[in-house]
Amino acid sequence: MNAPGYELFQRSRNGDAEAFRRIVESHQSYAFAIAFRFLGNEADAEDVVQESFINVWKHLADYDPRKKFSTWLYRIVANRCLDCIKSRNRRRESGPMDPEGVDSRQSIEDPEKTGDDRERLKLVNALVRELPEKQRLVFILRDLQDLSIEETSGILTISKASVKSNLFHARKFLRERIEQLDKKGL
Amino acid sequence: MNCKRNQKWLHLYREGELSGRRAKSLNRHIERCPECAAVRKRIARMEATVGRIRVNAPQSEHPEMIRNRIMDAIASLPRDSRRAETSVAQNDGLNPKWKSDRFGRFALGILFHARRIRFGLAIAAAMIVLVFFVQESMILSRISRLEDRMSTVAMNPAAATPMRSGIPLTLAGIRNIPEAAVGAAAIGEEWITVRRADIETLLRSVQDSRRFNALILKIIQKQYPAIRQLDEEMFLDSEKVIRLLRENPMIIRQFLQSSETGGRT
Repeated sequence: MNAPGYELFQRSRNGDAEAFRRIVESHQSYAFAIAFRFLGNEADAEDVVQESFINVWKHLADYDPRKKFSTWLYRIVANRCLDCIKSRNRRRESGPMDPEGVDSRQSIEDPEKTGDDRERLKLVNALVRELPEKQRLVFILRDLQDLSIEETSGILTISKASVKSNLFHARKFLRERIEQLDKKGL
Repeated sequence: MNCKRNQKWLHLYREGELSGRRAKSLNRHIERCPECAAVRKRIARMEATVGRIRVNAPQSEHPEMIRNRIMDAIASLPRDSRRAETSVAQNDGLNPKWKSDRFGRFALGILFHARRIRFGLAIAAAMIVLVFFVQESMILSRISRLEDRMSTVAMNPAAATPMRSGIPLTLAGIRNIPEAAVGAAAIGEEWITVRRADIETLLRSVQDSRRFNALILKIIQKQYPAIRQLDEEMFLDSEKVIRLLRENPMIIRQFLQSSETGGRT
């Protein structure tokens, strides 16, 4: 993840929308992946991405360029994801899986996958969303988005020990549930 | 090595999650332990599934549309909206609940890294509680026995027999008795505290414990003719003396007054 160039930042800070569009282009897909994996719903994930970048625009002046831009952005995305879950809970919505979500699209990206495999990955993705919010965020950032322990700790503003602890519980939960799926022959 | 703890560490299998030393000792253990080796295989199967999800990152179907929405939104923002709201950058916590839970995060780390510490603390706490209750029950039982004896003696002085099992009344002996056993006494409706310090003052003023006991006996016999026949030796039981003093704090007052005037009751 390359941080946007200093020049792009300076131009964006000075109100140059075109420079900001390039920042959005370079980080949008990664931000979407985090939000979608956390929320499991494309429309919500798009809303989160949109709100996150609007916040970034509003607060570019507060951003310290010596720090990693992606850490700052993903923290905002994570915050928005949690807000989205809260708002869902308020509306008493259960946050159902989007039928047009990641699982159905995996077949397009990887046509060699069998139908059974797609079904299995879909189930595992659903299991990820059964994790408590904190464990889910840690697992998504570390295991699915492939960030380091330090980066995950920085984004979530928790200690490295806490990251590892949450990671352990998340992986243990998933392993046990995946083994249950295996026993059922899925 | 402990298999349960090792199986926890086995879940931290990716680079940078375990120190080199721990990883080495874990590997050495797995070579010898078929149970942990089996767990590692099961974890590897799970990681293979997670790896397939990792490489298939979800993509938005209309990224251009989202970008346009973002650009439209920022174009419609008033000029002074930037920095006007509460700063997201300054509020860099993930969630207020988590941010305030610094102790919780620290505790979680401790619990994860040192389950034994938690177990040890629980055992220590249980031991402290147990010792406290045993001590309390012993004190209550002694007081109860003394009360029974005193009431028997008060009703039938002839039944009084010397108690020889007591602890000689000394400063050290008094200090070993919990403050709670010295306690407070009720006289009518008035509560008067007899402090351990008062008794210690008495003992200091009369170095010889036998002489002290004799003095106390004299006061008690004067105050309570019904228990005149109490044997002096009975008062060698320091707890009994304390019990009597607790019930009759004026004894101390009288003694202190007589000490101040240099007299002997």
